[in-house]
Amino acid sequence: MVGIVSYGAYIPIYRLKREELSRVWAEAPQSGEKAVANFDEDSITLAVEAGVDCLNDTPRDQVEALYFATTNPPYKEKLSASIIAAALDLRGELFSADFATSIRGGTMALRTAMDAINAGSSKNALVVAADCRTAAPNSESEHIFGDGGAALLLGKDNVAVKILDSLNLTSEFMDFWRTQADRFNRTWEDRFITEEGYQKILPEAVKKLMQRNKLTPKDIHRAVFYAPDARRHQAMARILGFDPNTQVQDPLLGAVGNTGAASVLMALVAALEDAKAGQKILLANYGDGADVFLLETTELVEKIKDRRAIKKHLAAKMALPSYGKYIKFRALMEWEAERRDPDRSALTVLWRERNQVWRAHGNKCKACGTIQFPIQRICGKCHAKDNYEEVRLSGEKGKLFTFSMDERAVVADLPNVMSIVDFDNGGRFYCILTDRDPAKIEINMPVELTFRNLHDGSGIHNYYWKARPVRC
Amino acid sequence: MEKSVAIVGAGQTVFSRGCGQSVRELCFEAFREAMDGLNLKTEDIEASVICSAPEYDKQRSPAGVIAEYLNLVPKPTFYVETICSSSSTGLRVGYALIKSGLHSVVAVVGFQKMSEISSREAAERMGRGGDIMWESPFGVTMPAGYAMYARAHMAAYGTKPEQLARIRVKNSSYGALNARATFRKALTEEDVMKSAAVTLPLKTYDCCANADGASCIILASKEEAARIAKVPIWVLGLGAATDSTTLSNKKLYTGLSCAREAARQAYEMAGVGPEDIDVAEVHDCFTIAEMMAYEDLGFARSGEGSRLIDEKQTYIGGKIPVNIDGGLLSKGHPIGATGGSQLRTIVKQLRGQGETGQVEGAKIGLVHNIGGVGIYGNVTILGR
Repeated sequence: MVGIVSYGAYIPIYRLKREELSRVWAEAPQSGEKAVANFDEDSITLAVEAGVDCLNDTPRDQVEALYFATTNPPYKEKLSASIIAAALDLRGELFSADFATSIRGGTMALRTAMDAINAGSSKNALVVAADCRTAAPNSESEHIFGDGGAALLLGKDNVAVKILDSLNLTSEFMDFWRTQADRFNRTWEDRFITEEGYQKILPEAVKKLMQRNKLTPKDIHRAVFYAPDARRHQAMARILGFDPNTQVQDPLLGAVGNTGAASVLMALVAALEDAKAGQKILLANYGDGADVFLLETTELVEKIKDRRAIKKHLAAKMALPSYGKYIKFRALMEWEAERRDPDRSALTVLWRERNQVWRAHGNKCKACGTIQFPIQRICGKCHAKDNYEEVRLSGEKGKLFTFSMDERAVVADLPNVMSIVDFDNGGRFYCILTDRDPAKIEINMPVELTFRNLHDGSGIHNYYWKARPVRC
Repeated sequence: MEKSVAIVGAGQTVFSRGCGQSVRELCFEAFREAMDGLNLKTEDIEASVICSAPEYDKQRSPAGVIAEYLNLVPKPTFYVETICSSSSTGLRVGYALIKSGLHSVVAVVGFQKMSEISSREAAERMGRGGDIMWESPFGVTMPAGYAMYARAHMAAYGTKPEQLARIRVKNSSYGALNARATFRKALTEEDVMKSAAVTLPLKTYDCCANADGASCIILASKEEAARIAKVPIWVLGLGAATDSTTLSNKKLYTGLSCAREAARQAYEMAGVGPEDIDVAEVHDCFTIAEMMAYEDLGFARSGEGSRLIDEKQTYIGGKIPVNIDGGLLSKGHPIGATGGSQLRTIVKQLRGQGETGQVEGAKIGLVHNIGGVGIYGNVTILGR
């Protein structure tokens, strides 16, 4: 039976306290905080992080399909999944697709992946959902929206969570949307979209699934369901008949925010981190209809270890000190023009060096084992010629060998920390240090690589690897 | 000790931030001083080597226009470049032209006009001296590069920012006396320590500034030198070496491998050691660069460069006076002209014509000139 084999998640390191938003806009204070992507992160990089976490103990070349869900793909036209697949160093013979226009995308991808495996067209599939939605300044959404991602690996063998049943509704109901011209979300009148949409469509789907499986709410160990915000989440628990104290999974709205297409899958990952064998989980997602799933854990769910998932990522955080920094990170204002145009990106070069740029491949000398980056045809140590294999450096741990802090660089977050990293297993790498507290950077501190948007130029998002202090 | 090629003339312009001259006018001014007092006609110069880093001014292939302006046509001319050490490389090329017997008198002209572009553009071009695929796109600048060395030196040897500041204090004390320096204010340790962060641990006064300027060295064969100049200064030792451009392939971060290798070659060729050097000009593009030069050149053991400055041994009167013209830190750093200016200062010292103080009885002098973040190392030993 098809099911979830592995899971992972990602939450950006920065958190903005909602009281800072209240302070800036002189409103009654709201509690909690939201996760905010660093200036070099977007839905693609969040997805890569979640994917890396999920594939922790899976050989990358075994993944046969990748489904990516977001409401905010960095490119309007251009497959995001292809970039995610490259950064994850997946193989070229891969089915991939984006689900990019609905907050229900995460479970659309899950259902599609499940069907592909059931149909036998693919042995396994990686489902990644990540969102990085920018809310209009001083809007209600600005308090609610947060950034994050989740990943699930589906397969038929070694299933940790069986998918017993699923049911889907499609609805043309208009509640929130963005046209091609819109940067920020639009919604219809609040009470209408809640009472006629969310509170009717989602319960209808849940009820049908429960009836079909002859279940009552008390048969469900954990109910994981989408809600636009915390107040409506509580109301939905009552409507569905679940005890909010014992049965309902925290949807992370207080500590992370509403992460759009990733929201319900992140909550599911949080539920799986605490799950024991033989528990029934209801997963219900909403948006342009509803997707509901009946899940049941196996004993393998307790064996999934070494994931940062939700718990560790929640705990490892840094405060975003001000709204000013927030609008800079999310590019919410127009800034002083550069004195010169950004460099033009050479796509020919990017293509030629794609294994190094996207996949962080260095080379390892077959004669003496020396690892080098960038790839050199001649070994720097033993001078063997064209006698090397490419090795993936993105998962390597290393130490900060030396660094500098540029206070004059043209970047959204000063200082720009240039760093030289020595990998524990060999190889030296030069890059920018991100997700760092400038006061705490030290030579020899443990660091790891993370896939980021280096800069935007010539209409292109230029992705590459940076280092960061080992997150958790 | 071989005396086969001599510097017979040396000149330089005032170094400044934003001069009102074109590159050819700058070059002429340096050329005129180099020719001053020589028994040499322009038409007897058999070749010219033009040195600068490209893309700071609009002139592509500047050798032709400069040779024309200096009236060196129809003699051969060409362009050499190793970024900040271009004119030391020019000296090496000139030496080879004479030693090979191809020519007997050669002019080496270095220039740079950096004020035609903004400081930000200049920083970007400097960055592109490094690897343009794997490094400069991430925003690496010269201070960011050298700051990594500073961190590593501090971590390895406990070097303190105050000790780096003392290097600037020393150089500024001589820069105050140098009529051709861009910065002529004597700074205190407090001034340096309080200056704004550029790329920590380097602050504003730990860094040299972009400048406009030109330099010129006239080289002559043994046979011609005695006829042309009253006091020829002999090129006794030449060293040149290269380290990997990519920062990830560099092994050493507490010193410059290219400088150590160049120094070894130059000492060996001249048959002298660090203890024989009476006065030195080193490439202090940043204070940490001078600190590392003390150690790379053997004036101090590794990690002990800071003691040299603490004990003021690199002032005139100390064991080994260094950068007594103010260095790049005071003079400014017009990339292609810098090496020629350093050579000129040592030539003046060896002739007993020091302009910012004289090291009494100086017989052997050394020039250390580096291109890029430790890419091209050049060490030249001169003697009377």
